Amino acid sequence: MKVSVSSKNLVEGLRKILNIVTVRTTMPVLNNVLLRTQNGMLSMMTTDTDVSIVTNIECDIEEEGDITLPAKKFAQIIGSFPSGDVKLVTDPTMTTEISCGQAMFKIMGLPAEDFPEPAEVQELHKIDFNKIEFGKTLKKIGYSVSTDQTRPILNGILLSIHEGSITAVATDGRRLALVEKLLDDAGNGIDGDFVLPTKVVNELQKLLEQDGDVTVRLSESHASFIIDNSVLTSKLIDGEYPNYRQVIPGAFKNSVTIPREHFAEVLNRVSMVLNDAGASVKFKLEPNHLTLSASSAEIGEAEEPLEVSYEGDPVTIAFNPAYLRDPLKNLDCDDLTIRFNDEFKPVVILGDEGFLYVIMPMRS
Amino acid sequence: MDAFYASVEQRDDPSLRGRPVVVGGNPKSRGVVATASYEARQYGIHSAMPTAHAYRLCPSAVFVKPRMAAYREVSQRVRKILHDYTDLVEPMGFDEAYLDVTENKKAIPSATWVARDIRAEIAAVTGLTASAGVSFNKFLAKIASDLDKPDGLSVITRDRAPAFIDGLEVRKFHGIGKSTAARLAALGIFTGADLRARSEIELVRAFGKSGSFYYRIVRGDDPRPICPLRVRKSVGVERTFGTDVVGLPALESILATLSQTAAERLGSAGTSGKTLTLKIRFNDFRTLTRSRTERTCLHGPEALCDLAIGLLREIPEAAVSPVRLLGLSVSNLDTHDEAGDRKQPELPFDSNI
Repeated sequence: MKVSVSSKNLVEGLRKILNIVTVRTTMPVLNNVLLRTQNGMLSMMTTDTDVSIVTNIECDIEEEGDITLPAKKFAQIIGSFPSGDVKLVTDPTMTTEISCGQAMFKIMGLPAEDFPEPAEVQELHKIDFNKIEFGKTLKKIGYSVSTDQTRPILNGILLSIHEGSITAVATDGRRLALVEKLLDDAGNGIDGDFVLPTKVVNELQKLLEQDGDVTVRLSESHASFIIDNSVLTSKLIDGEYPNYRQVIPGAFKNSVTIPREHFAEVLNRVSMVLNDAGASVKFKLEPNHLTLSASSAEIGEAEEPLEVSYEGDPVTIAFNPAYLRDPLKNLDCDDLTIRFNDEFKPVVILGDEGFLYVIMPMRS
Repeated sequence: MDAFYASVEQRDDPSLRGRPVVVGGNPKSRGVVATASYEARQYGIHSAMPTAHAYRLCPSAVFVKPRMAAYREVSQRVRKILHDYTDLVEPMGFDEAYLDVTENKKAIPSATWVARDIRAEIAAVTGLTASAGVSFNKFLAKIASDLDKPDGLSVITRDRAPAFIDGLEVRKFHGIGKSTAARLAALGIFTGADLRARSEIELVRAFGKSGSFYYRIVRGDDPRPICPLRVRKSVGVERTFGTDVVGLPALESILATLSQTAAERLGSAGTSGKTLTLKIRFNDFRTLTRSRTERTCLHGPEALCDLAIGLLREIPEAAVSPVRLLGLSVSNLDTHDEAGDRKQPELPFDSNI
């Protein structure tokens, strides 16, 4: 292989694919990035065998070919170059010359044949989303994904597509976040549940920053996302996602509306006196008033009132502030609505269109 | 339980009775002895010895692979018997437990009688023998249980305790291993009497906090209560290799597997921890450990593995010397259940998600 490519494009491309590379692996080739010429482009791919990502960048091809190079080292070298053209020349001994300006490296690689190809997605469904919208949806719920490896089905985001709407859901069993949206063209008749692993969700968010469309291809076992010049392919998490509808109360006795940013500020301020993860902040509600208070034996106490719209009976509910902070931070809306029945039953928070968050009050 | 695993094997296979039996790894591989029968102990075979060494000591011994399920079953039956007497049972592994029978469910006035009854019941139910030690604290009860093995019962009363402790070698004391014993010997301390002659300040200077503990136990003052629900302090996994492993890439891929196992064990114990310790033993038996504590709990095999590889790379010798054993353990465990009420409650999913 003999190609010339701009260092800026290389860096940009590597940034998208580098996170997939694992350091811990029994297959040394998985530490590498696959480089090959394809359809007049330089195709770069990384994989951990469950998730793989290919990105294609423009280049001048003098001679077609392929090679794999240690990904992190390659990225480090390319990143150190000034802007300009980088020449990659591979010889039959698997050594690749990397040069830019006066700098010249010879790096040992491994043969491209050893590199595992990504799974072929047997497309059942195809659906397009606006990139920014889709990225925001993932961001609004992603923090609720469980990190508990004993319940693998919860280590991902559920995309549930039924009757022309899509619901994206994440829960760790203690809180649940979802975003529901109507699909254009009634979703082309797609009907099914697909659970995307967290790793993919995190990688996707990086690729969804600019405007445009992402095409999602879904099969029974895999999903792939086509975003401009990149394709991210992943195994889906196998298993049945729990029936999340059952934890969302059907009716509420009370409702309170609060300005989101101010609420977040007050919550953060009041919780400064707390020093352990299990501590709670008390919400004392009276008509048109909410008073947040917190205390700990070691530090002291804090209290701050907020003007809110509330017309129900006086009540005090306690929440773990850590579980409230995430939705507050990731939403865009001006006002939040908290709906509840009493101080023990699940509480729902609404904000941006289609967004819903469920959390249990703390026992105070 | 006396020579527990080996006794279970001899009970279940009459052809093994009266013969030296070694339960552990294959003598041609590099496993260690889990338990040796009393017949095998006469040849100098003891637990934790490499089986290959045991084989050299007694080639005619019968080497048996452990059947953990069988031992677990016996262990559970024994535990049930113990709980008929008191709920203050502190298990120490499968085959040993401390009991506080000061007040017992059968209102037996003497601990010695309780011990006698329990031993008889264990023999009747399991067909195995157990040895018991009776005293007024854990340290002396443990010492007593070793005095008349197998199938024995010893009692150390308050009156006998000082004379008894004075004559005891310090290496038999709880918490005093080989290296502490050597350091004590360097100070001229060989027996309980030698230890008792030293001031607390002198012992603390030499041994830190442990010095204080030695000062107390040598006076028969062991403050440790029986803890029925002993909280697990670490979760670990280690592996001795069939042939020595050389080079970082091979070691790192083994760490990946160990991380996987450790993460599974943490998962099934329903916990996670902040500290990871890497243990490495070279083929000359030198053993090093390195550990690191993170601010938050380590979740999942990837996090464990990344940290483990980092620790491995801190040991320059690991890259070049042949390695016999690698181990990982996670400690500083999350004790979230101690404040169950203060935990974020679960959402009301009806199925077990």
